[in-house]
Amino acid sequence: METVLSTVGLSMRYTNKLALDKLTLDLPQGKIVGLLGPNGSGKTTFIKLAAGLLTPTEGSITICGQSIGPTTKAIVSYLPDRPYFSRQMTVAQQLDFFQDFYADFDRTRAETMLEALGIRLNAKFRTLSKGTQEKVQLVLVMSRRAKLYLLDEPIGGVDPAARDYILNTIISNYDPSATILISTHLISDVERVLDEFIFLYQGNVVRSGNADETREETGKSLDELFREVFRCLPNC
Amino acid sequence: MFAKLLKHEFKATAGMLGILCAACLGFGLLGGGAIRYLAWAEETGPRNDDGLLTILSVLICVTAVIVIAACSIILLLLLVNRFYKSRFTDEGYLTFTLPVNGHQILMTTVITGVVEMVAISLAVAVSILLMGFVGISGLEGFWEEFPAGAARFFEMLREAIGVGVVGYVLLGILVALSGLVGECCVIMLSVSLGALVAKKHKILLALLFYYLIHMAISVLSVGGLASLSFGVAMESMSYSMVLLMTALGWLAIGAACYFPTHYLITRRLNLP
Repeated sequence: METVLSTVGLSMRYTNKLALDKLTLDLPQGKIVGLLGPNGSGKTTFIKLAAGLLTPTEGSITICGQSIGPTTKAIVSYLPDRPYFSRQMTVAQQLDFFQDFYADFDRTRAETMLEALGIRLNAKFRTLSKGTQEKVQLVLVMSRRAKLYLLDEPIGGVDPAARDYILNTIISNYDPSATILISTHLISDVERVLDEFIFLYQGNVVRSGNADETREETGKSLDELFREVFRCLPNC
Repeated sequence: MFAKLLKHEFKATAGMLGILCAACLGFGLLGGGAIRYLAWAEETGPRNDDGLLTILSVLICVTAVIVIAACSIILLLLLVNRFYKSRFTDEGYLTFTLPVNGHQILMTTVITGVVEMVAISLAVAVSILLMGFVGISGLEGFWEEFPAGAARFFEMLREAIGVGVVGYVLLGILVALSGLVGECCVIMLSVSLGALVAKKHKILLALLFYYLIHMAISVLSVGGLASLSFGVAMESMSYSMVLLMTALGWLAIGAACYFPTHYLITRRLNLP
């Protein structure tokens, strides 16, 4: 199976903290992978490295065999854990923006999804509620035909109904040839969509594997396994 | 991709630039009208002097001067704010994940900054001229004398600085543009340092860095001039050579600030 993202000895050190510690892993093509861990485990750091928002202090990270740069950013669709558009922009202007910069952006699909949500294209971003802003961003990100989707805490901070909507949007717009990496600490909500998982703790992988096989092998859900694994770890 | 980035960068600030230019021109006209009224009221005597209109005219004149003077400063602050917000706040998550490189991100800032500062400078100049032409009566003879006067002026310049009209204008434009480019790069570096180095008081730190960089520029400029005056007789240098060296100096300052900024945003970026 082709590897979409590969890291070798990847480390990221901030001034006072080692966020990732010689991480070596491969993400296969065509899978939904859960990057799961408690707060401060290095999930967001890893996603930011893959998105090109950070430069590693050691090691390497490649996407489809290429170093992070404009070429990889053209095939990676990134959803951060916060609103990242100018609040003065309208939804239509955001669509124009994505259409200008991303050749793989499907505007028709985006407009259809926004219409289904009842979001007016001439609405200013700042007039939308937090949950609606997150949905708009998710729609834009998932309307791209990217090779790798990086979703950083896509369901954090929204109500359970919105979480279901977000996860259903991810599944229904999922291109089987693409890989989705979802980082979250809300395991029970997200585990139904995962093909594979990575448990991250203090910048290290403590467990990873196929979600279904692990559930069969352990007789536990990923949420239960997560609680068991991280209960035993210090500072958790 | 660079063209698209430039287009969006202009779109983000064009609205405010338009408003400021319109304000400049509008207040230039209003100010000129107010000056014309005040001059007329004085000429025709007290019986034609409406006290309220006089006070209003004076206020308009003062407001016009303040607005015209403030427009460039307001635009500069807007451009700095735009650079900071789109690169170092949540909007940076979008900017730095676009399929563009660091040079393209920085060059859009420099180009839009220079173009918009030139635009507002022209608007300010035109508004001052408007204020003068509208406000000052008895200019009918001015336009008749203007061509001959302009020719005499530029002839004097040619004798003084050694280049003709076209050369002088080109040198002047080169100095102005290189100064704007250099200043843009100084501001970008100051803001980048303030944003990436400080956890709190980023603006204060950016201002401090701005001050320190300009101090360094002043020290180097004085040192450079001093070494020139010892090495080469200053009087042997023509004005055109001095202008050219000034332009090159600003471009060097720009480069000295641009590349560290590029390093910071590509290798040391860490958005909150």
